[in-house]
Amino acid sequence: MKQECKFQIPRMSLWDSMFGRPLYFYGKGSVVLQDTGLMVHGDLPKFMLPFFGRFYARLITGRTMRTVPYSQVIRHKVTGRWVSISFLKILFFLLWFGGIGLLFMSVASDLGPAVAIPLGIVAFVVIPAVILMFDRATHYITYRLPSGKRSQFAFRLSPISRDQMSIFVNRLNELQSAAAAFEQRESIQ
Amino acid sequence: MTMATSTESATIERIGPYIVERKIGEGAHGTVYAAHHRDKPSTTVALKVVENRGNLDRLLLEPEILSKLRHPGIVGLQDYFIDNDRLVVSLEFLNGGDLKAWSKAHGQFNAAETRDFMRQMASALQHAHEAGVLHRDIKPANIIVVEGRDGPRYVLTDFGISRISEGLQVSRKTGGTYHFMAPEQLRGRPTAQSDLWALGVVAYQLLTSELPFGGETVKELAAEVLYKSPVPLASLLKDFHDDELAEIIYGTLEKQPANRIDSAAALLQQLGGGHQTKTPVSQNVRVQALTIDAQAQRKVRRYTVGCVMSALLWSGPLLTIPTTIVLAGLWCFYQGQRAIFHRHLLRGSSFTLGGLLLLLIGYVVTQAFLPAVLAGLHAGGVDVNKFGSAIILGSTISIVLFSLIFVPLTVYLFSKLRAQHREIGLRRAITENSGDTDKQLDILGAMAQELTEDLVVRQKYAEALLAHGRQREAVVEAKLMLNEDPYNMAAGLLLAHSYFELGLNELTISVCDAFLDIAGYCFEFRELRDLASQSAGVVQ
Repeated sequence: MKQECKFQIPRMSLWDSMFGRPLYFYGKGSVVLQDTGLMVHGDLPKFMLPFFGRFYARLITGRTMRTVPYSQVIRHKVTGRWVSISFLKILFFLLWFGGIGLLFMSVASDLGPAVAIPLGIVAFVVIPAVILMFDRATHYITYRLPSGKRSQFAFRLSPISRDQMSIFVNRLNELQSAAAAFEQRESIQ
Repeated sequence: MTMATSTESATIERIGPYIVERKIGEGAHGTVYAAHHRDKPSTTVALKVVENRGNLDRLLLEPEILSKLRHPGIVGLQDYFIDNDRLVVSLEFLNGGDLKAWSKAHGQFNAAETRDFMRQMASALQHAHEAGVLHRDIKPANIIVVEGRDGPRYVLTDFGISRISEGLQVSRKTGGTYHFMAPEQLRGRPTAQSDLWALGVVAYQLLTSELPFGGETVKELAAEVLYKSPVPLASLLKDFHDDELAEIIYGTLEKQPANRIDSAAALLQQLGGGHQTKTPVSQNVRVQALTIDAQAQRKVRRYTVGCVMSALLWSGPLLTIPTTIVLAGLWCFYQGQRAIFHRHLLRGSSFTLGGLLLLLIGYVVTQAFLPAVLAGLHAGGVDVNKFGSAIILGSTISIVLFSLIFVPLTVYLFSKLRAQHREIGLRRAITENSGDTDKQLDILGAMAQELTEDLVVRQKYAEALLAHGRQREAVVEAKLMLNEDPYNMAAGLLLAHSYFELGLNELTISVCDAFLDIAGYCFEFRELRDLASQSAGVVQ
């Protein structure tokens, strides 16, 4: 199962980032759920260039892939929807409170319910709905490298229906559980 | 139950409620009769009778699978029952022969006919895969051709070894016909994409009357399937000009599922067909004004011109001399960092330092340039106090604006240009496979050298090396791949295979053990390890 995605900046814990090596995939790529492991295709920087690296990423990245066996996945965290991105969070609150402000202003002045009700709908319904529509959950996958160090990459699935997204997530969870169960069975034997 | 009735002719046979008309065929999976239901004498059905050889559950799998499917490209199930310890499946009666015989009589397919065939089969496979069913044995003998007014209708039959996709596969699943088996199916791990591979093989065979992968023995055939790329269509067919179709067929014959066309739906989309569309063959001919290669070359020219123009437009307001120095500095810095990445430390450090120096010089010159311009204007009798501030302000605004627009644009076009060069290189590597293996290896080798981090290219190069008996170099390539992506199973298998072919059994075992430690469910390594252990005479 192949799914297009957009990579995000990984967020490793302080402890993990001290000893680990996050993968700063850039731009768009794909995640493939194969029996043999999770394969990530994307652009990785050839060298780290602090700050400017993000602006010139297309120049300093190269197409490559990474394989993550399901047995080596330590954590697969899926952040909640709109709360995952700081920018959207700020935008959300600004627009929401802005809408509420406008609502109060219209109530305080003599504009009446003809203006106040549509403004209220915009503030409480339309703005959150628009924000939620454009936002998607972010997946953070932390795994163990052969050296024992930890690594992480993050991605958001390209716009797909909720059904497709849940199929992807369920399949990933299924493969992880199956790999874990197999390892457990082997160790018992 | 088969019986001859006392009141009817002795030649009339009955199987359950069906009256047998004649025998249509016989195969490994049973005997097929033309028959009709006693209550519906005008409707002929195909009655498939399979003897129970001890595993009734396995027998019942085919009707169970067929009951999930309803598509014009898949044989329809009418009824099934157990009769006298035999499974009887009543199927839609298809008035036609199998594709193998039909194509012999019809002759080689042209591009439009092949497209039509692939479109119909892709639509059928899309339906089956969405229902979680993998066919696993697509070949001309399992496709029935029914001739109609709108052209031939292709129907997929014999789901005898098909299965319903399950979770993680931890043991080998055998079955299929060797010539049509995908590399992963050959290793015992069929996926939905294995059906696309088989479809690609059939399409290739219909076009050229030759199989893309051959061999005297199963071992030779397996080696071709696993590592060799097929002979390009253009070198087998002189008047074949449908490059797009060739690309699609090569796309289905990619060794790695991750690089292959990823679903039947995607294949159908590439073929330009919607679900269950039925377009007359004559309308399927796509007139291509330019070949794919010519289109790619045109794109390269466009991107190059765009890139240069954009860079010039950026450098215009910044004034040429300092910008050139800055650009040269950036280029040197980039090359230096790449060289360090590839562990060429001396060259890398000198380029990096040189780049930084040039950037510094560029900065100083930029800083000195505007005062120099102002001084020049002053010397020419212009009142710089009056115009100076305006010039500086104007230049600053234009620098910021142009940098915001043209720097990202230049970078974008440059990255597109690079991607296009990669595509052209890979395409050339495939089409150069018409016999000149050295040339193909040269192209792939040069690409692997240039795009060190691109594991798709490296893998193709390593596979080509192994296919041409250059195991030692394949070992090096596989190790370089593992250096980049330590858990890459394909690279691990390549390395283990190369060691095994070199007779280095101990090393084969150690590579297999390392991967089995990580993912014990990868039975491919277990099998290879067993083979190496047998060869080495190691006592388990």
